[in-house]
Amino acid sequence: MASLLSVQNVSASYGRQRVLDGVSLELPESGFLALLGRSGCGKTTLLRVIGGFIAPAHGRVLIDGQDMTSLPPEKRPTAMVFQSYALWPHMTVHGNLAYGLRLRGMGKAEITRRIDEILALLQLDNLADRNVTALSGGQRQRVALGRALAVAPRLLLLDEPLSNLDARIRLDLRHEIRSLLKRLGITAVHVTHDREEAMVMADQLALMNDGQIVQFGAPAALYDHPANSFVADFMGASNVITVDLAVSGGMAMIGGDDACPRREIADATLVRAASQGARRLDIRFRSVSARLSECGDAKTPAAAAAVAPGANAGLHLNGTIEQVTYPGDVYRHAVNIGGRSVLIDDAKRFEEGCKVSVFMPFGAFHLFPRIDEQSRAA
Amino acid sequence: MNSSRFAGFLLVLPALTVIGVMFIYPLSYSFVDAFIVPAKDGGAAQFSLQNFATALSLYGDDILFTIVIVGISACLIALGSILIGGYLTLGENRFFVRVLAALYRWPLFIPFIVAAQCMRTFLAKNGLMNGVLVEAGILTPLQTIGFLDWRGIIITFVWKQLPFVTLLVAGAMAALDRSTIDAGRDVGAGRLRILFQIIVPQIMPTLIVALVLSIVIMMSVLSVPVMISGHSPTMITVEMAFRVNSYNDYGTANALGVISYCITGAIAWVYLRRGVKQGGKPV
Repeated sequence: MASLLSVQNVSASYGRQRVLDGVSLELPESGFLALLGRSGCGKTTLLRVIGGFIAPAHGRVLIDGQDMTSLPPEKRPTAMVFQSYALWPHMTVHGNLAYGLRLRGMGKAEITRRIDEILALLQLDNLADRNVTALSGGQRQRVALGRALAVAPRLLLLDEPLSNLDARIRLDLRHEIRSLLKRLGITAVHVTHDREEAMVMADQLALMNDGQIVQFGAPAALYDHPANSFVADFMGASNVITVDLAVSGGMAMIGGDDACPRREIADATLVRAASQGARRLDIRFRSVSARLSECGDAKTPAAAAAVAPGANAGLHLNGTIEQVTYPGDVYRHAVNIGGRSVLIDDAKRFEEGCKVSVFMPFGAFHLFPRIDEQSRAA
Repeated sequence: MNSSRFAGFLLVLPALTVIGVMFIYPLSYSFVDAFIVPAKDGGAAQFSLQNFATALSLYGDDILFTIVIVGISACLIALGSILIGGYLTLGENRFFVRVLAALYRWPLFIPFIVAAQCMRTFLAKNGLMNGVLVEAGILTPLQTIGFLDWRGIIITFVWKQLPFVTLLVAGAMAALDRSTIDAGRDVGAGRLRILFQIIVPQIMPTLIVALVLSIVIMMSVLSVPVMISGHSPTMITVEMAFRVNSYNDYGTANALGVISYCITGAIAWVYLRRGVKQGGKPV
């Protein structure tokens, strides 16, 4: 499928500080892309480069195959929904929606018809004559979306449009905006730092860090198969345990202490990494992915697996409960494993100081070999 | 409670005294004096509108002249401040923006009388402006004309007051949510449209307040009309000084003062009304 948006090797700087560093991406017609990342990673800058508000130092931006790089925002077939909504306070809802249409030389009757359509679409009927300063946050957000949609852009740019709203309204609007844009077949690029929002709304995610896209793909791909430790961390696998890595007889050997008993893993990637000099391994996992059992409790799967080492169903770690909290549904345990504290959720409550076995089935954790100073020294 | 009220009163007293002695008393005295005519044969002074009749018959043209001069100056100041503020807000050449931002404030620090003297040498028939134009070959010496008339007064007022209004206007523009400007560009508006359709409507309260204050100042300046163009018709302040200095006629001068006060009062009413609309907070 031909790309509607093509960003080719774009770099941008604020003064001497490089904010975007050789970013490239493609987005097909009717696609919904989320630019995801922490504050300062360059995602808003990339959106503003696409919208024409920032000129890139290098690279090109193409829309429908046409080079837009040197065109100002007013000449581009894009429309942006701003984080602060940026509604014009001296105009009514109708005035805000009609402004772009009037600039396009549309007749009065046509404008009114179009605005009525948009208002109905966004459930803002009867608010046309209301001043925008008299609207609630959710209504303002809809008007901002309506203003952008009114000019029928080829590409819709959403700059954290939900970040100023209450949590409850935000959850509702995520689904509303996605279904609306899908119904209209609008191609959109959405900037957010909220992982869940990006996953719920977008077809494709571009996770950014330090001005670069670190992984691009479908939400499930990033969630289940993170390309590196940073992606895994951002996608929720924030628990990290670092263990030793070695290779023996064509098998990867990991662990070798009390916290992580030594075991073999038949993983070609690990074997290759170990052969290339990696001596340490980051094990990353989510709080919900691990199960706890008291050491010596033979009835639990972890203990059962520990008793029968041949059952290679997953990975076993040993730790001590440091703290227990109850955020709802499950108990959240801070567990010390080999000097590192990790969070693990379990339906059963384990008391502080209790020695526990931590079990994670394969597929529920991610392994990232790394070549650090310690690896080099070894 | 009573002691704190008394302490509060003591705190306010100095300011109240200054306003009473320096402003309210002379203003009331002059106001009343405008309506009083001394009896010719040494009898008691009596209430009369004679001073106003004299003021209007002798200086009606000057009153109109004042309103026109101040009105044109205010319009030019408004336009100039919008254009300068607009360039400071929307200009893309950072060097020129910085130069303009540094230069436009200078006249603020120059007193009216110095500004008027500068303009005399600049705008005269053989002044600096015509000298430059002749040297540049744009005019011949015979074609030059002096601007030391109503045009000179307007030029001086605009030159002197433009920085003051621009300071407030540019500040208000800088305080706007920048994304409202980006949103205008995003839906297809050019810079001029954004300036007059997006920016100016949002800073209109500040612009009006700045203009009202500026008009009140222009109405009360004596040095500029005296030095630039003292001949008739001229501004009300010049005729007031003339009545007092040449005829010792405080009655007519006070009547002119009351008329002048009525004009500025009408402008101030606009200012206060604006303040009431904004929740009783005139800027």
